[in-house]
Order: sequence, then structure tokens, then C-alpha cells
Amino acid sequence: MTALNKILNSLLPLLEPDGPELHLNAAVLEVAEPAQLAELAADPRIGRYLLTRLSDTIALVDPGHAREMESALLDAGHTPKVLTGDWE
Amino acid sequence: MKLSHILQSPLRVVNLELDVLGSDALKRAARFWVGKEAGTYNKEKCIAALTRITGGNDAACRVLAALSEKERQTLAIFTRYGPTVPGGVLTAEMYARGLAQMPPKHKFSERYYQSYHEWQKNDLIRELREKLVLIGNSNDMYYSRSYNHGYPQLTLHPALVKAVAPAAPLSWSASRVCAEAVGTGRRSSAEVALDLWRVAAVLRSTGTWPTVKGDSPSKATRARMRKEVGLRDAEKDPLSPPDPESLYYELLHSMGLIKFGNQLPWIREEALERQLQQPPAAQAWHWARAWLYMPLWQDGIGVVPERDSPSNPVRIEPSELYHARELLVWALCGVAHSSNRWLDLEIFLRDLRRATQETSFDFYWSSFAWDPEFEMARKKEEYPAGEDRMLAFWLDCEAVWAANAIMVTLVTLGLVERGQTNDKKPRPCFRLTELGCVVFGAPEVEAALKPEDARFLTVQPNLEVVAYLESADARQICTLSRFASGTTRASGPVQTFALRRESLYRALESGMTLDEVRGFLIKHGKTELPANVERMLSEWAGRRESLALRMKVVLALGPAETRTRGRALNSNVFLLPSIAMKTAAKEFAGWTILDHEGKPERTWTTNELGSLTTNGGHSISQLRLARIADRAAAGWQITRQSVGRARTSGMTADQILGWLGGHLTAEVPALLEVAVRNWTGRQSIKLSQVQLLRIMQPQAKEALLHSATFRPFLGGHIPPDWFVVRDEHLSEVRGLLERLGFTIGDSLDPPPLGGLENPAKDSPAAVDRTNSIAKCPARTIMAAG
Repeated sequence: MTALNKILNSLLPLLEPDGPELHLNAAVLEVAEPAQLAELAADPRIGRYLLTRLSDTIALVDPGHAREMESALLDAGHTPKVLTGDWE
Repeated sequence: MKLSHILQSPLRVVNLELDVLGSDALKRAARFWVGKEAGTYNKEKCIAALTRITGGNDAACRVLAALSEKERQTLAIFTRYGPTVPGGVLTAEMYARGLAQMPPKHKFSERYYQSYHEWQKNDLIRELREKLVLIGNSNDMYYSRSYNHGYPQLTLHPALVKAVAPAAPLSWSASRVCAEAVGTGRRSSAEVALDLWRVAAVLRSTGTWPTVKGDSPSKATRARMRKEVGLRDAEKDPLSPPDPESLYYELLHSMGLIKFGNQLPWIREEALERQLQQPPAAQAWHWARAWLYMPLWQDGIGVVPERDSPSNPVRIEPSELYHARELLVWALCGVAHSSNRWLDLEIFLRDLRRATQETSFDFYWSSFAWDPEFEMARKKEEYPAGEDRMLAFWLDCEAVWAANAIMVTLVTLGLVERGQTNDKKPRPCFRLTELGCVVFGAPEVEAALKPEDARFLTVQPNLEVVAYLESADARQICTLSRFASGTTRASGPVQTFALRRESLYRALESGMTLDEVRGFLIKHGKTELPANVERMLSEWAGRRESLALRMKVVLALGPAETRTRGRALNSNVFLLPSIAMKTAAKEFAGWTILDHEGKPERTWTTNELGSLTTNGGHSISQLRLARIADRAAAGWQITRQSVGRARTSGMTADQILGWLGGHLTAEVPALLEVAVRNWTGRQSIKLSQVQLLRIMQPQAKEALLHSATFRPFLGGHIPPDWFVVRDEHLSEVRGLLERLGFTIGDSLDPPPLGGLENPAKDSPAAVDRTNSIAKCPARTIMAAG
């Protein structure tokens, strides 16, 4: 396990559900690099709305807080591409 | 794009009001429309026959053939402006085209009634109304006032609308034109569109805003618009509009670009976008139409309330203002069809008054932002009774409104260019801009096509864009505003914009692409796009691409074999196309289905010390618990450490309590809530031993409370009968009490918690009160009065 993985695990553990689950109307944050995800998760303004990691570059947003996440990203100076219903 | 006449009304459903007509009137109309055979019809049959008339060619041709040439000319006015024509415009047109004669004026002459009868007999409009060729409200039948004879609003019978060719435009015959003008000022359509865009942008950034009656913005919203847009107003320059931001607000309102409903208003984004992408002349046409019927922003006055006070008017009556604006626009339409020379403002208004004499606008308002102080108005008292005196008084009142409308409002909207005559005593003068000629000259005058690739900007290496608005059109400047922020608040023909990461981001989020932005800057740039600017734009766009927030997606957490489509995030997690709940339940039978927009499941139970157990629970529930609690032998435990950990990750007390409130089967215990707040905040309490004195006798208690002698020795009062004694003064207090005849006991059993009521709010404390006490006092003194 790399140092970055360790950091990511401590900040945002990987999701391991007990059984099969289907999440509707979910919000996820997708970045280009794992380091970027670590950076975002470590920022309390953004980390508060992140619940878990789905992969090294994708995190699940706490249900009901997608809009707050968008505002938090903008307030922190990020320029996220906001997509609705776009999964590809 | 061909514009329709600025005063043209849309075709409305017309009520013939046949039931209010008498039998003779109906029979006359039926004979005219149906033929001689209608002479035998009774009232019902007449109504039935007249109701059946439709727009078929036969009826129209027969009726038109039966009309005189002058009557047909009259109908042509209705197809030019109508089919419904406002009374003022109709009256002005009838006189200007020589279709109506001035009514006899000398009421006291012997031949007046004979002349009046003659005049009435020759009234074309009256004839056409009787034939039901023109239709109006029956209440407006008697439209003549005692001092003038105007026509009411009338509509051409729908059966004739397509059969009559519109009248040719009238040109304005000015009594005097000016050779040249100096100190001229005009605004381009791009400047107007930019101001409109800025006001809309402020409103859009607020989302919704409070309004007052009439859907006008509240004072706070107006203050915000003023602060953020900051256009030059009449207070700084009398030739600027009063409340300019509100003028643009009302334009947005009248153009239907603000959505009003039961809730707070908001900007209709798509409609605004469509409006701003129209050709400049079409945009300006809509501005002028919106201004014509804008009730709550008045020229030279500014914002006015929706309700007026008859005894103390605070505005011009909107219907009077519409009438005045219609007549002014009617005159400007004539100007657009004459050679576009500079017109002396006062002379133009005198001409307007004469041309609209029978339907002139009159309202009693004298306080306008700009007063041109017309020559005749200054000498008004010198004129003897008669037409000139009336004109002079009109120039001192109503004409000042018209001057504000022409020289301020219409200049602001880019339709009029203003200046001053080049005389020893300069006088205000004006002419229509090219845009004004197109708007007021429509449909005959059409806009010259401007090249779409006008080079109107310069991009500088410091990321600033200098835009020359005279060369730009409204569409182009609005496109520039989408991805570059205005750096100057003042309006003017040259404006500076700045390319910023946030402004580019907003444009990309609204659907523009980086290539469109780059292409626009290259196409309209007077110079090459600097390489560093191009690099920055690419970098900013790239940063946006590297961070995506995907909302309303479907996540499948489970084995892969059930999915045909989807994007694997890891071996067990897939992003899927959108799916409805019902379909999901069918396709993913046996799976736990969670809707992130639904309410969380209530499976947690806790005591007030944070010992928590769960009854089942899906991944969200487990993830949240793991974030705020520690595993314990019998479930979970919320501790200072677990909450501290959540706090470090950015969570707030409200967020933690929100999760607890959402998942707990009962309410969050108050003690646990206090603990969570304590662990996430800095609330502190103090605990120490104090000396308490209890006096139960009311008179003695009041005496002590107000005693100057005891004041230095007491640390506070705890209602109803406890006093905190300062440690260092215990012996003095004891001595004083004994000296004053109190019997002092050394011990006291305080009542149990809940047994005491706190009447603090009713107690007239003369000394400081302690707000709380954490523990029963260790030592007490009880004094009995």
C-alpha cells in the first residue's frame, strides 16, 4: 500500500457494503488524480460533505448535501464541472 | 428580421356586444352586413345573422365595396396599428390624415348647434361604429369631452382584418429643424443590453428576492441593485434616469423575463438568453414596447408605488401615462418616416401638442428630475387667455414629462440622440438614432445588416479585454459578458472586462465551450489573442475538467453480473444510467435500494450518554456512525474523541446532530445534544464554593437588595431569596446582620432540583444576579428576619 493510499484510507475509507445496494439520486465527486482527492478530503470545508471513497478518484457525497458540496467547492476556490444525471 | 409596428396591438377576441344594441341599430347593421333582406328580421334574427359573420372573402368584399373611400382609408389605420387602436392614436391619425374635421369651437355662437350637428353627421368613426365595422366598448360611446373630441379605443371587425391593406406611414412635419447640434450624446444598443444584463445578473445571483405590491423590488433589493450595478442616476446627472436599475428591472418585468408566481420571483434564464441573442433592433423594439406599458417606473420620476393616494398623489396615473407614451411614440413614428434632422425639443413638443390637440395628455405632476425650462413655459403668465396660454402651461407641466421621456429615457434606451442647438442661447434638441429609426419606423424602415464579425475588442496580456461598444452589437456584448467580468461600474462607449477563472468557469458551466470562448475572442479581436491569455484559458478550463461533481447518479454496490450497462468504479461499484424507483425494484430484486433524496432510515437508538445501538442499517447508516462514534462491545459509543475526530474532518455540531436526528428512532436526548455541542465547541462552565445567604422574609430581602451598605459585600442575587456573599466579606456580613437584629442559622437544607421556581424575571434586582449555579452550595447562612 502506497503512502497516498494510507492517507486516503485514513481520510476517506473505501466503501465496503455488507450486501448489494442500489443508490438512487446519489452525488459523487470525481477527480483526475488520487492526490487531488486526498487534498479535497483533507480540507474540512469539503471533507465534511464526503462520506466514503468509491475508488481512488471518486468519493461519495453525503446524501442531501450535494448543493452544499458544490457551494463549498466554489467557496474554496475550486471550479468543479457540475453534471446532473451524467454517469459516463 | 421584419419588426411589426411599435404600436401594433395583437388580435384579441372581440366582444360585439350585440345584446346591448337596440332593434333599430341592429337592423341597420344587419342590412349593411347581410343585405336588404335583413330589413324584415326581428332583433334575435339580427343578432344571429351578425354573429354568423366570419372572415370569409364574400362578406368582406361586399362590405368594403359598400364603404366610401374615406371610410376605407379609416379602416386602413386599423390594419396599420390594430386591429385594436388606442383612442389617442386613432384620434391623432384621423386628424393628421384629414379624415376628421375639427369640431366647432364657439359654443355660444348662434350657429353652433347646427355646425355641431353637421360635424357629427360627417364623423366617419361614428358611421363605422353604427355599421359595426368598428367595435368598441359600449361605455365609450360618448367619447367627446366638453372641450375636445377624441375617439375611444376601437377594434376593426375581425372579418375585415385581412381584407384591408394597412395605411401608409405618416411623416412628421416639423415647424422648424436645426441645422446642426453640439454636445451630442447617444448610447449604442450594446451599452443598453449590457446594463440590462448587469441588472439581470444581480437578480440572478440573489436567486429570488422580496417584492412589494405591483411586483416591484423591495427597498433592500433596489439598494442591492444600486450597490452592485451602480449606474449613473438623476441625482448625479439630471440627464440620467432616476432609479436607473429599477428602469431595467421594470423592462425585464414587462418583457416577461421575470417569473412571478405565488412564491418569490426569479429570472427566466432561457427567455433572457433568447432575448439577448436577438438582433439589436429586435431587442430595442422589445425595450420600447416594455417601456410603453410600464406602470411603476415613470419618466423623470423613477419608481412609484402601486397604490396612489387621491388626496396626495405620488405618481402619474398609469393609464394617463400609457396614453401620453402612445402619443409620443406616434409622433416619433412620424419622425422616423421623415428626413432625420435635428429637432428643437420645444418646437417638437409644441407641434406634438397641436397635432394631438383633441386627445392631448394632461396630468397634474410638476416634479421631474430634469426641467428643460422651455421658453414659452417661462413666460406662461404673460400670455392672455387662449390657446397660447394653455400651450405655455402645458409646456410647463406635461411637456416636461415628455422632455424627460425623450431626452433621458429614450436616450438611455439607445433610441434617441440628444444635443443642443448651436445658437447663442443653446436649446435642447434631438434626433432618432439608427436604432430609433428602425424601431419607430417599423415595418417600413428596416435595420441595415451589420457584419457579424465586427472587431470591437482588444485582449491584453494582463487578461483585460477592452470593448468598444459602438462597434459591437447587443448580442456580442452579452456573449462577452458571459465569460468576462466587467471591471468598471460606469457605463460608457469603452468598457473594460477581465478574463478570470471564475468568469470563464461560469460560462463553461452555462454551456459555452472553451473553443467558443477562444473563437469569439479571435473573431472579434482587433489584435491577435496573446499567447499567455490562450494558455491561461486552457489551464482554467482544464482545471474544471479535472474535478467533476456528478449529481443524481445511480450507484450499484454489488456483484457485476447483473449489469449490462454501467461504468465500473472498482470491482464492486458501478455508475449506472438513471433509473426509476419502480424499475430499480424490479431489476434489482433482493438489493437494498436507497434514495439519497429520501429520508434516512430510523434504526438508531441511544441513551443520553451516547451509548448507541442499531437495528440493521445500510452502508450510509454505517458510514455515518463510523464517522461520529466508536465501536463498543454492545454497539457504538459517541465520545468526546469520536466527535472530536468528526470535528477534525470538518463536521459541525449541527451536522452531527442532524445525522442523529435523522437516524434515531426517538428525539436526540437533550443531554447528549449538550455534550455534542460541548465537544465541538468551547462552551465552559465554572464550579467553585460560594457563601450563600438566604433571607425569606420579603421586606428584609428587598431591604438588602437595595442597601448601599450591603452592596460591596454581596456578589450576586439568586432569586427568590439567595444572596451570594463575597468570601472576603463574610465576617462583615455576619456582623452587620447580627447588628441589625437578624438571627443567623449555620446550616440549610436546600430544596431538591425542580422544587425551586426561578422568578428572576419579576425580581427587581439591585445587585448583579448570577445566571446559573452548577451545584448546591457547600456552605450557607440562613438569616431569619
